[in-house]
Amino acid sequence: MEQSTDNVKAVQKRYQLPLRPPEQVMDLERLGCHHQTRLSFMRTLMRRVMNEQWRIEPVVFELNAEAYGTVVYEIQAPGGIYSFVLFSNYLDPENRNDRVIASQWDLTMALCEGQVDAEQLEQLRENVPKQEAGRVDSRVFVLSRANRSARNFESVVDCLASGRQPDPEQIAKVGYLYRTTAVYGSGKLGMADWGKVQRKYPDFARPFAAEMFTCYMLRHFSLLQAEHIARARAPKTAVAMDEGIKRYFGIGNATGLGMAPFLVHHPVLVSQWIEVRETALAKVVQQGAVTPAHLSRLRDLTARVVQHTREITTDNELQSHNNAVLLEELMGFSTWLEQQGDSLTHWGELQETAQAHWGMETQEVIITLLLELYPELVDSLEEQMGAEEIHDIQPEMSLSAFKTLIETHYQWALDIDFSRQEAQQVFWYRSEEKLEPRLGQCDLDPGKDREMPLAVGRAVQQCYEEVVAQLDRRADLDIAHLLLLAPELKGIVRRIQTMSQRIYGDIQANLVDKDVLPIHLLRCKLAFFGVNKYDPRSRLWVRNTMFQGAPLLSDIGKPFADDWCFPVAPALKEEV
Amino acid sequence: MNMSLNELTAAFKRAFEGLGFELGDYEDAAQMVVWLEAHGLGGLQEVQRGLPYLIQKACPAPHLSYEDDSLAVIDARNNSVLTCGGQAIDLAYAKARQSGLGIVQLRNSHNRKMIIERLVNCGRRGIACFAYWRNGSGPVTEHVVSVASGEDCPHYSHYSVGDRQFGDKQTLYIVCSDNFGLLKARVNRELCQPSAEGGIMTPEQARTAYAESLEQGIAVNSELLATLDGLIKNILVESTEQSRLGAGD
Repeated sequence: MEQSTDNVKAVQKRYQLPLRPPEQVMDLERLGCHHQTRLSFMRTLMRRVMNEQWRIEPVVFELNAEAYGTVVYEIQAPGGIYSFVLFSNYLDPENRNDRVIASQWDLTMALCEGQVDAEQLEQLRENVPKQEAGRVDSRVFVLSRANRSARNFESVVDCLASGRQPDPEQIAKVGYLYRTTAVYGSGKLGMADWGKVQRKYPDFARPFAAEMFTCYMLRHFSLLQAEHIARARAPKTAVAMDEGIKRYFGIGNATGLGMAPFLVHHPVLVSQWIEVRETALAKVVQQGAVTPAHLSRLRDLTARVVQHTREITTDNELQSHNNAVLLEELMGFSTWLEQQGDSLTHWGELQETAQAHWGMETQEVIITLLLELYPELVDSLEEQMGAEEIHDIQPEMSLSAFKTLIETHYQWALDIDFSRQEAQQVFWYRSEEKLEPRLGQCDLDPGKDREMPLAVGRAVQQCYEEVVAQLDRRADLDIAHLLLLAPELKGIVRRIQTMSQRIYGDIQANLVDKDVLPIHLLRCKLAFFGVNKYDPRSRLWVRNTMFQGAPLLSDIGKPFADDWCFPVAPALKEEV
Repeated sequence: MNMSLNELTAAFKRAFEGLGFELGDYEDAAQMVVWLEAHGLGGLQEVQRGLPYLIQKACPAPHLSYEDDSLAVIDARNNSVLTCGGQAIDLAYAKARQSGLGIVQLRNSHNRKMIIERLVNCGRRGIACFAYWRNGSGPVTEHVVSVASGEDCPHYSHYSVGDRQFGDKQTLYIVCSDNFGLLKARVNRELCQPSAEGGIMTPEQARTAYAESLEQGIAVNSELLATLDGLIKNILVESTEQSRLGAGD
């Protein structure tokens, strides 16, 4: 059994693991094909909650018949006590808006340290519903909000009120009662710094653990609220929701460009996530014994993915096409598995076949399934997802060594032809509206002079040109002297020197190309969060579902299979 | 208003970007200010004093006026250490790595206290460093900062050296070496003997201040916030219906 704190690099070195190469792994389109895995943050959070049997109880429950009011849940975890505070307010449907620039919401919530007294509750009541327009203090470490999926919510309440269960086919189309549109942490709006969360709250000392937990509690409330309203409307006929159906509800999420700069501004962290995922894959391929039991489970999981994919509803043409291709290729994969029978002895054969015959989306699904088969090889890596975003300049490095570094690690950037107009057709900027990141067209939109520096590929190429020019003048120059001559290169020089020390380095894409698809960036991060059911609404934002299939609060303390990936619609039990 | 270190750093990054600092410089400048404040060394007061000057005046780029294997002299040409301090440290660091000792005189520079975070950064990367500078006249105050290799906080002291006149106004001295004992002996030869008590901050005191800042956040006055907000506007683009489409409809 692996030690639970195995260091990723120690594991790679000990087992001489064959990792996939950066040019394959860091391709933007491939990153946009990621699916959640056992190492996704929602999965690791649920393992912790369930295995440690966190006690989560309501201590304030003031809801009127329409379930408007205040609830406070107290959470007792091994490392401390926390409070989840939620305010449910009436929202005129005309004002319901999923954009980050909205100013009112159906639900607003906060995750706080310790117990919340009356005074603090009033402060939270005053500020939490205002979200970005309010201020909280450092006892709060997550702030979020959610809007009702109105049609779905009313339909579910009607069913329960009239003694019926919601239709799983309907839930398959819209698998949530609420959508969250932002989840803030890391010290924004007066909240506690990530450094404080890491030091003081060990239960949430992993990337985005607190944010994911907040969404999990939101999911719980959404189900509770539907039942509450149904009971109030029809006390004689209302029924509780079937638990299997409850588990099939998740929380909707709408993610847009606001998330994209994160992946560029936190390259060390993102590279760490990817390195851990690839290490897990390499461990499974190298050490995972191919037994009849594993093959049987793989067949079951594949059938589940097929069913899950069939149940995805999306209007997006590209996603629909990709899902159709995925289904076809998964059928091919199933056939291939059957044909292999006992002759399959090493998962490397499967990987080679997948790369030779099936598309990226199918390849990445198979990776998710392989990781599912070996919790004993994979789960110990979950503690390695953190990384400090420290970027250091090595000023003593010779310019010729730096030139070689660029050629070795950034050839993808040097290969981009920026003389083509299309290669620099778009630019990223921050809007005066809540600093929302937006994408502009260079020949159409104002703001190019205030462009956000996200075009890493272009910056690398410009740096390289300057380095070559300087080396022509003086072959013995070092980085310290380069930066005296060209101080504007500091940012990109530091990035190149830092990321060249990582196995996977930067995302390999031209982010200012006319055809860039920012949703690939979004999907990569969302997959690490653990979401499902991607439904792109454009190339700039994507709806998805969080925690669908996850255990309920009422499941804490019961046997836990940790097997809720790719959830499928439950069969409706016969009504008595 | 209390702000977390992360929030304050992000605000300063945007503000310095709005001031026209380059990528790399605005990140470092924000770190320098917030680090100083978080460790109880008055970063906000320093930057608030320096901001009007930064806003009004664009200075020519610093100039390397002398150099040999271990010594360099840079004329900062009245630039703030927020923009040119990093270059000076990098040069001293490189010389220390290459020849064991690196000394940089950064002449005609302002906001010299801001160098402290860069020195700590140096120490974290395994090179011991000292910096010292003199302020004022009648009396003159000498400021000395030292960071041992591997340390995360500095030893900082300042003391009066009376009415002595020095020809190095606005000069910051940076000394780096991989030999802390040698470094200390060398720097002590350059320093004056204190004639009056000043202040001392030990690494332990700096760490305590930091822990408090992390726990509670940092208090920021409304005047400074208004100044930062004004600078941040320089990097924002007007929102229109067309631009809202740029985030997806």
